[in-house]
Amino acid sequence: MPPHRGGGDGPDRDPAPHRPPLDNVRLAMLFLICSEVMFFGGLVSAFLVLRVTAAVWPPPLQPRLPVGVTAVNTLVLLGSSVAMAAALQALRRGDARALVRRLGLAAGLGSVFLLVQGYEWARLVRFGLTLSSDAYGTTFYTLIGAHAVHVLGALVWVAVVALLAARGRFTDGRTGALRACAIYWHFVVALWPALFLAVYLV
Amino acid sequence: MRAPGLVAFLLVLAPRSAHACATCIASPFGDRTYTWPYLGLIVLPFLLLAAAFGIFAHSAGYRPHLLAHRLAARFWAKDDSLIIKETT
Repeated sequence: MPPHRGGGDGPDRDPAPHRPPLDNVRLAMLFLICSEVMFFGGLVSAFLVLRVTAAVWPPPLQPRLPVGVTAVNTLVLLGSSVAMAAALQALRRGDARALVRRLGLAAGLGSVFLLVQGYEWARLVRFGLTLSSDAYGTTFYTLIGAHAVHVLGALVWVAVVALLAARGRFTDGRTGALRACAIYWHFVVALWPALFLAVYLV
Repeated sequence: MRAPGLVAFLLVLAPRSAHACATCIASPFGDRTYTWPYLGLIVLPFLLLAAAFGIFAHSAGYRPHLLAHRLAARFWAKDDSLIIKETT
């Protein structure tokens, strides 16, 4: 006989099982994202304080940032978020093959974003904008580099989740890891337009 | 502890110096930084708290239009339809 839960008289009189309004995955990701927003808020504030204080921006003899290429790269990253949303739709339909394919597409677009960023960074370094050139370079590489590290971490996460999905991991209904990964990926993607606006366009 | 107290006492006795000290950051470049970046950083935790509470409330089933209906029902009691109102 299974043990009764809740101290009722019997199964038909037991209280309904307690269901929290927010499941553990979403709660954990909410806390993580709040801390990440504060982290990036501090970095963006530091960048903008220097930006507002400077009489000339960019500082003399420093290269201008590549706005056009980065704008296209922003669209690539937004496309990866769309692919991730499509992957979750495939998960809800129970289509495992489409899930793996769309996770791969999201990871691929994220990789393209990182590669283009790395290429642009290499060009900027050649033009003289380095981490130690001045406060402009320091804050730029710290802020954009922090985001790139986050994208890289999320990319590894998506790759692991895609591998697990290819082995049929999430078809049994236990989708917590995949949902957490999707939330984090959407956050990392949504953060980038704000950084692009603050660093490249303002 | 005695030195800060002594300085504070002297500043109270010399309000002009105290005022000058408080405004020394208002140099032509000093005060320009105290704008949106600082205010944004100050406001950000409160915005995050509001967003978190909003997500909790939404997950618990609260919706803005339902709350508005409840408040409206509480503060504007319905008239009985059998009451004939004089309109002139």
